[in-house]
Amino acid sequence: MRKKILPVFILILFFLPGTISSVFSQNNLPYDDENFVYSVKQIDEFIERFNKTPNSFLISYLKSKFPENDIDTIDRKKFILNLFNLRNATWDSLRVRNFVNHVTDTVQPSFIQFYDDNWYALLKCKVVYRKVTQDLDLILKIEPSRNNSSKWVIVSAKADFLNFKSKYENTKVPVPVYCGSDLRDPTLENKFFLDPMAYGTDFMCIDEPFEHGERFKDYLYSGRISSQITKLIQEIKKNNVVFKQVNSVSYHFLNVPGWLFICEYFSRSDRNSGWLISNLYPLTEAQKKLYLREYLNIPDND
Amino acid sequence: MKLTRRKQVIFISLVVLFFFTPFLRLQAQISPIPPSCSNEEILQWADVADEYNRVMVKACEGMNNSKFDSTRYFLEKAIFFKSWSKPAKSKLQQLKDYLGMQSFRKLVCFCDNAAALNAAANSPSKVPDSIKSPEPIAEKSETNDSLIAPVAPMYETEPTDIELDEATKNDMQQKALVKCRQFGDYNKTITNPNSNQDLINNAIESSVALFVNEDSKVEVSNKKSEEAKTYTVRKYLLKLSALNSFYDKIEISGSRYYIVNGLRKGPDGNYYGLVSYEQIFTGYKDNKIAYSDITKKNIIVMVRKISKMEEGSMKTVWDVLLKDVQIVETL
Repeated sequence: MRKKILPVFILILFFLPGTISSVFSQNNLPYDDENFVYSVKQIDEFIERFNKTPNSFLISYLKSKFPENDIDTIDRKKFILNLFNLRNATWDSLRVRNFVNHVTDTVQPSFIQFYDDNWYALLKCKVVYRKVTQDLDLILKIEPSRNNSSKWVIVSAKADFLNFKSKYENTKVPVPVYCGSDLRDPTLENKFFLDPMAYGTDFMCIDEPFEHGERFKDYLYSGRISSQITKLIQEIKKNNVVFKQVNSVSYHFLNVPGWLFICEYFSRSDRNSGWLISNLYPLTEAQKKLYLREYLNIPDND
Repeated sequence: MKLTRRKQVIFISLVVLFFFTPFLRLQAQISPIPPSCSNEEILQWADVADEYNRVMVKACEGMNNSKFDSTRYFLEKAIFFKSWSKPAKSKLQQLKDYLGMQSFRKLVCFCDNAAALNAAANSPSKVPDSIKSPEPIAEKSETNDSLIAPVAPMYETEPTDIELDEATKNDMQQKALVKCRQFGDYNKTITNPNSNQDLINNAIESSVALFVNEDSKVEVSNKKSEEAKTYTVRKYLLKLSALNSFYDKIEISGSRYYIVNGLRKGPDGNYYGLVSYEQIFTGYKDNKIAYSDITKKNIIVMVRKISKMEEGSMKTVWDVLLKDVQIVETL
């Protein structure tokens, strides 16, 4: 049984000295303009705060608001701790502390970058498949493209109608068979793509690949694809799938050695809101591969 | 019944007013002074009440800002304007009569040049020397299709190796912020119960002109409802305009904007940016708050390269347009 220790806010109180805790303190007013400042508005801001990037939005604000304080000296740990969903009272504070200590290690600190390879967006979508509303999970990642450009690409898909069953769901359905490779037409790369900022609107443009049925394959990534993607392509070509909407987005970061953390959006009138860490797991590299294969349905590309 | 002289005068005045007012209004409608497409004049015409003239002003603005999409759109709108009353005369001829030769020629040449530029952009070997000098309008056919034929915009669509330097990126980010603020301001005008229909229409057109094209989408979602609704930008604005009849007073506040540091290049050679901001909407009825919400708006902006004729030579400039908007009602 997972060990549940003290809620993480005790940890926060431990870490935060008086003046700085007031900087991050919560506010119970119905609307506080400053909530917007402290809220993690976009995943870019999450990355900035995780890395404690100088001149980021929050640091610039703090510098102007508290000119008497030396904001640059605030410990990076405090920025990272405030990236956790503090309303979750079941955090394992030891695990959180280990993670924070690991990424802020003075000898070998860990940073994350937007163009890192090993992080994914998981889109929980609603589609109509053969006139019945169904859930469809799409897994996307950012991929470098021609002329120093980049785009979001579809890596994998999961849905009951695509015959995907994860081992995590205790079924006896075999692990999907992976097949295929880069199906894209390079001459159309500049026409059919998801722009690099598409995440900013929760991928509201993800309906495009479904509308351009024949061109769905041009929105795929360059690696190996699962049989679910092959089936999805066929079903879209047959006009059996109508895209409805994205219900939610989460980001799965596997780019910190030894760790997996998941970011979700917490919409509330609170300074601890926006894109925050909702789950944290210590994982070995082998376990990460298993997670990719079994949970995100991403084939091994080794 | 015998009327006093004073009452007789009032009665006659009222009869005169009753019969002649519609005539005077009609006169005002059919004879507004058309725009000459000069920048100075357009500034004076900014709050023009006449719908047709307003459309022409927008066409002229588009031309002066080298926005082919916008110019062509408003010209088409003018050509197919509903209130033209003489079916015997071609709509194009009416447009020519209305604008006068000089302005009409300017607009037609702009559209022709933009079409030629587009053709040149599509065939790399052809330099844009095909740009025509203004032709006498008399030589053009009455049914000149260059104004109404579906012509692709002048924006270059081929991927480019051109990299934006940091200074230009910063400029473009500032410009993106300005355009997002403009979009917010137009929203205020559209929802303001004190705005008249002309002002609302003007704000809608100006808002649409901020976007890449009419196909740009606005997605609206609500915490309470599971279903997100997606509209084209114009449809969204029209829906928004219906709000002002529900409330006596509307307040939209909130001034904090967050812009993602740095623009990112897409495979089409255009750059993309992201702006987020929050707005508090409060609607009043009988001096009481009838409805209030906080919305978070996320806007993807596109920075793209356009070719522009300046002082007789082609110049490449970068322009910022809004692409997609996501609106999330949070409280």
